[in-house]
Amino acid sequence: MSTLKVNTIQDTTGNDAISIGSDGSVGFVQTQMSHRNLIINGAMQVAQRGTSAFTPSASTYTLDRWFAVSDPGSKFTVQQNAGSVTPPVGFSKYLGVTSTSAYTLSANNFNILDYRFEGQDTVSFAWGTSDAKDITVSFWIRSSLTGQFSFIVYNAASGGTKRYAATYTVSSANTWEYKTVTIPGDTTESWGSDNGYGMILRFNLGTGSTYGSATANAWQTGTQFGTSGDNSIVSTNGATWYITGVQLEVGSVATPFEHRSYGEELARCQRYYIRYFSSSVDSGDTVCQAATGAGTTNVRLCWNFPVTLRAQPTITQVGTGWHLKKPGAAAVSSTSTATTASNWFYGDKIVMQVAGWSGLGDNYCYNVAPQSLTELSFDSEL
Amino acid sequence: MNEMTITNAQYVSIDGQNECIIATIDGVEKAVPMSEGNRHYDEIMRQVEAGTLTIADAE
Repeated sequence: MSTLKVNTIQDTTGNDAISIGSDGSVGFVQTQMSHRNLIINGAMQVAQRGTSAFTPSASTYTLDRWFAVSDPGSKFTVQQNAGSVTPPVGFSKYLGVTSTSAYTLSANNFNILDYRFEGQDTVSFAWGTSDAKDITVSFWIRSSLTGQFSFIVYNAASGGTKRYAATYTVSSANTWEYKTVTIPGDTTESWGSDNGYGMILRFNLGTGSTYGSATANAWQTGTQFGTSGDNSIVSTNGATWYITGVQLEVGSVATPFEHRSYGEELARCQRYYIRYFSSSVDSGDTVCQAATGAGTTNVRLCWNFPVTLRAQPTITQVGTGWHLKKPGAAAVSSTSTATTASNWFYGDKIVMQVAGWSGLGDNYCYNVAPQSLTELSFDSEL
Repeated sequence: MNEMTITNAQYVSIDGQNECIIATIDGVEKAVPMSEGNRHYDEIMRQVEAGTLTIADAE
């Protein structure tokens, strides 16, 4: 046995990296010990929208927080654990992209997979200042195609122009490979700092020349999503591109993937999207909510969320509609879609109005429940 | 580029004011609040300003 007695470990340029206190406590100077990974659902566990394959006819959110765009539409599918291959060690889920044809890209075509950050979640980068920090992106990738691929990070805030195109190489077909890319901080442009658009991490799945001519591994302005040497998944029928363990963290070192519990990850996802009800589980008929009559034909009910949403959500209602119940009377139905007003959103709750009734009392109290809904969802995604 | 296919957009009036838009977005009917920062509302307004979408008056 041997003992090393030091109070500081520095990097090769003399910056403190690890500090050790006289009581044995340890501090990592540049690397957070928790909450390092700024990607939500990087392990691809959460799929509130379902586990069937998504085919983006234009665009669609797929697994929670992962947004796919296909132009022209339907050139690939996205599905949790597509192809049912064994995930990398330590993971049970992955996001699987599968090409639907051998498509020849036109100049303006683009096929992409996005992760979209709120501006306020990336302010720790200090981008746009002289103190801008490097970030490191790491992930596991498995593709049937070998060769060069790329992703970009770009400033999606209003007025943003900067983007960095980073390449990575798949060396062996149909084999999980771990990739890391460090991106130098941007010192010149203002990046988002509120609940609107911040940075977008965009993986290129097949992009024509108009958007696919970025300079590799460099900051630049423009509209490019990929680099000229990239493989195109959508150009080979049945080609696959599977990804999991996506981590984006401050610093120039890729640390091990920060696993979080399913419950914690689901709650984080729900800030952006919440789905209730499924015909196979519960169509909502027993979920009564107190409601107030508004005139003779409308009721208004308050719906509480488990977390605070990013912004006022879009409401999607699929199924029969709503039941109105009051003592001593049979339930009556409305097939109207729930709507809302711009000042009826309170972060963790929303007031909705359901029309289509008759003979109600203004300001009278009623109970309202979903009637055979297969979906009631609230979308606050970016 | 259009990230969404939007059709059948119509205002919903609540207490006499336009407060919401019902629209079919990528094939699914949605109730979109008139709130900046909501991605569907922002895209509806972008397409309206581009002249490619018209919102019908409330019933």
